[in-house]
Amino acid sequence: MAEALIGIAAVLALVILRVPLGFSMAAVGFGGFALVRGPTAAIETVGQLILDFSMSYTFAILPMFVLMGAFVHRSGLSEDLYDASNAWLGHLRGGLSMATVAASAGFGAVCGSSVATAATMGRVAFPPMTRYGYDRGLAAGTIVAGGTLGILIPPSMSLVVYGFLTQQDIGRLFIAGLAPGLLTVGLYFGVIAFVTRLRPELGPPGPSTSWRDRLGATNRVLGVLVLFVLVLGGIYVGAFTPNEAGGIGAVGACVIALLRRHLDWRTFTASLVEAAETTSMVFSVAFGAIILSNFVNVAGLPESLSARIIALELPALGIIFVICLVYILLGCVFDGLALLFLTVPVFAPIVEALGYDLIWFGILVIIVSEIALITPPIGMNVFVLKSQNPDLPLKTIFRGIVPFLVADGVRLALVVLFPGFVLLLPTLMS
Amino acid sequence: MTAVLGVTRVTAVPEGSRSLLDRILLGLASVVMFLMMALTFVDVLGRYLVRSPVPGTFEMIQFLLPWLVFAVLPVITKDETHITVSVLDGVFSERVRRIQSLAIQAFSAAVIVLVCVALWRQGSVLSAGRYVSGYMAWPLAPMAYAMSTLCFLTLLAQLAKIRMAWRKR
Repeated sequence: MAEALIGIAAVLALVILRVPLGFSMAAVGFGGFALVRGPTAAIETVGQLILDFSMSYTFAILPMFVLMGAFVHRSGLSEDLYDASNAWLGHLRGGLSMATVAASAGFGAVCGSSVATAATMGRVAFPPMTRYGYDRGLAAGTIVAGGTLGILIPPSMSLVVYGFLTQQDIGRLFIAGLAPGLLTVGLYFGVIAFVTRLRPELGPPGPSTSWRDRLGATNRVLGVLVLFVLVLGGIYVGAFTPNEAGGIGAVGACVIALLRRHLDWRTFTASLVEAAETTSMVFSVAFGAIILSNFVNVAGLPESLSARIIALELPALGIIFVICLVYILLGCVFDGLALLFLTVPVFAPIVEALGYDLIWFGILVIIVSEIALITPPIGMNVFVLKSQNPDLPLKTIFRGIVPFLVADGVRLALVVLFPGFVLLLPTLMS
Repeated sequence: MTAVLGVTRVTAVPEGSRSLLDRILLGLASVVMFLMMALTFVDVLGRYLVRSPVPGTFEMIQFLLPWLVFAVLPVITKDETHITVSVLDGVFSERVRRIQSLAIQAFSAAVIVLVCVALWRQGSVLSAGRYVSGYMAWPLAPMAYAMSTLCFLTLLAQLAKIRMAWRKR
């Protein structure tokens, strides 16, 4: 076990020195394996692992959903999603904030990235909120926290990566993200209502919209709703595999972008290139991760670590609590993807040995790593909003996030204490 | 700025200024991406509409995916958009940072050599054993050789970066 721990420490050191994540893991994994089994075996293993993984059908799902997100991003849908949410919610106290959360959820339903959701909504929703006299802290908090819905509401890139790392069914993981995603929307609405009730000047009500305009605005986002229901519904009832759903989602998003006249040859090829680049970036990290985890397994880390932790005879809930704490601490330094690749191979066997369901743990991991995305010192979503609004002080953004962190705490507690809430939908799946 | 999976990167290279080789590689990756999407879609459509899915879709996707991944690697290396964690940025002086960057480039080049060699060896193992895929019986060795070759292009891109970093040292 000692070799593996030294190896993980070496990876952390290299990564902190800014060596690309995938290269750090590959080098340490190869070196460690060579020490244990000899260099010839190590080089053969590396070749085989990379070839097998590059030709894995399961992971071909990633480019499909990234492509779907790329098309959606270019279709100008975000404005319409915000307008539609606003038509229904804008006249309430704090309504523009609620509309932002709803639109973030809608965008997250077709895009699998938290930072992309925050960046898009930051561009679309921040200016109107400040125009209507919203407190800049509340407006910023809404966008940053709302962005985290991007990776919880399926499709989700992080859940694809988690599914690969733990060999869990990606379709079930997607479906499992649905209920906690909606819970989050509800809790964020509650937070906004509470805050603006205490201090109404933070989020004055906007003008109300006629029913005619409401229906008109909703009509414009009908395409996305249909696509989401088709993709997720198809997975849920077993009409198609998650891979096939990805292909259908990408074609659907392409058609929507075309119909909205937002797609020409240039943006079409740019979307394809963007999806290819993202896929390649993620794969080069994944190569490193499989080489490292192969070494860590050969060195016997997961078994001996989980045996030791089980031998402590701590209450299972206590161990889960410690794991959550580790995620939140590491999340101060590493962002979402790095966090998943570095921790899941170590923690998942422990959690499984404790008798927990790995689908549930996946949702838990996503939720805690999302909290990392919005807390200092490295809150990715915060930096995105800051880069769009250079005059907005970081202090104001972090102040605005505090109420949402309370909601996140409540959500985390609910998910930990009632795993059935997460697992109900995936269990009912055909 | 493009946001990917919770990782933010700055796309520094405007599309127009790309070299011919980069454009060929990105073009190849785009065609592969399109084929993967179209194939999956036609397969599902065929299965439900005319009850005849495209035979071997599963394997065709498996043979397409490595092209998508490896064709873009040289471009990513050139643009320096590999996923990194920036914790210590701003801690070091300008001079230390240049040397650090050079060391990282050299380290990366060593890893790329390793992957390149490992894939070529895998190719010769597959070729000696005449391994083929399960359904279409397509030979697997050419895939390993192709991946190794694209890895070699990545190495060249990396070496060019090292040369540039060395000059700026």
